[in-house]
Amino acid sequence: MTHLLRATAIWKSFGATKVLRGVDLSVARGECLVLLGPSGSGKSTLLRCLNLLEPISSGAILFDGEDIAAAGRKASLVRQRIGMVFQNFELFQHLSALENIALAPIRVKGENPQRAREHARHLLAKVHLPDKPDAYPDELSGGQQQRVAIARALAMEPTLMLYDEPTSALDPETVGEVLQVMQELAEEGMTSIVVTHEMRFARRAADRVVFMDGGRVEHEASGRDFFCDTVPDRVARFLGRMEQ
Amino acid sequence: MAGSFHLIVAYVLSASFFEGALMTLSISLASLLGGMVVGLLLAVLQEVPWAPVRAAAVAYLWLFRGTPVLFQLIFLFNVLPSFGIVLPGFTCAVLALALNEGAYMAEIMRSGIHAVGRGQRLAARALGMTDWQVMRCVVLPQALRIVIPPIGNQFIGMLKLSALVSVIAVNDLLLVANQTASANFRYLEALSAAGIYYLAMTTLLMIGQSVLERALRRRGRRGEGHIRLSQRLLGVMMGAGSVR
Repeated sequence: MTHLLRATAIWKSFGATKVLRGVDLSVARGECLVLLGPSGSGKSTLLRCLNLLEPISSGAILFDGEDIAAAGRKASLVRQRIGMVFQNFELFQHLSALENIALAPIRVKGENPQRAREHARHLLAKVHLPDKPDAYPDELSGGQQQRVAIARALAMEPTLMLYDEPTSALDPETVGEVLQVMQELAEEGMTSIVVTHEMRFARRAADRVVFMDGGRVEHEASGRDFFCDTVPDRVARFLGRMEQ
Repeated sequence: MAGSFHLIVAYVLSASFFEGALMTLSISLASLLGGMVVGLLLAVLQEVPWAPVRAAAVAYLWLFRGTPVLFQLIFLFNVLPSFGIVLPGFTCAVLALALNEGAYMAEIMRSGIHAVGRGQRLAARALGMTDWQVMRCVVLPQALRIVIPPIGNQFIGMLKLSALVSVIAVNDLLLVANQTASANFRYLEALSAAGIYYLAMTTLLMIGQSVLERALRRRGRRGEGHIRLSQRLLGVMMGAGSVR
């Protein structure tokens, strides 16, 4: 099995607080991995460590066969290849949907602006928003903004997508359209790590589910096995709470 | 009395007063632009993660806020020549006012930069932008929109502050009025004519600022509470100008 990303013994402290306590996590090419766990278990921090937005305290991260944990100044080059979607979308408020998507390819990759915008249009269609190129973020619903944010991440043609609670800030009626897009991407073979509380999505789209608690990986199983009855008590209790 | 009125009208319509007003306007505009550049530089320098640079920026603020602008003006005008640097009055006036304005503009620019949320920077970094690209493509464009209204206030303050340059023999509106009056002792008429010009210019600027702010609000982004034109005319917002 070829791993796109393999993180070993990741420790991360903020001051005296140890947020990650020796996490091992790997994701295979084309796999959709869902990270579950109570809030404060370190899921979001782990995601930010994986694309080097947060420096890790110790451990190793192999991405595409390359040790990136010590990338230092090159960290921005690594991030170009890893897309990230945030809970609060974080679209650039001064730019239209199309400009949001085309900005990084033009400025970071030095792509031809004409071609970048064409690609951006294509991506807008892919997230089912073909008629919104000129809309500004504050003219879009939460679900639409998040889909633009996904398109913005895809524009850099990443080999890995990280989703940090992508539907937690959404109205219930727009959650579905975002999950739909994420699932379509996963089915096309986009390698994804998804932090979410959406059990529907985990059941439907996850190839593998990892359960974190207290800064550690406590349980991991294939998508099918995770939701059966043989899980450890702690996981069962968590699932029980989530499904209420 | 009728004679006075006719003389005031004659002064207002005279070439010398008009040129004086033009001089006041160009000094103000040039100093404001210079101040914006200096202020932006100081604001960005204060964000640099290198302590000596930040200390230098703070030292600048301390120096230029801790001494009167009139002192700075006279200092530059009289001390620079002893180092062999002889500047024309206009250049010297703009230099002094811009350096001083920069120390105040820095705070405005800084608050603008800080008003752009942390999440926006995080999203930009996640796309693979370098720190400088994040600043230039994401933070500054949004910050500049936020600082347009306070910069309008600074412009109006600058227009009034520029009267100080008459002490270094720059032919601005106030010096023209003063010299005209000292030839025939018709102070009431000459100074009234200058006052009319000042009021006309500040009023026009305030109206322009109102229009601009309304346009910015219509473009959608976080409008502050509306300031009525009457409040503007009474100088409710004119804090920085009067401190000096």
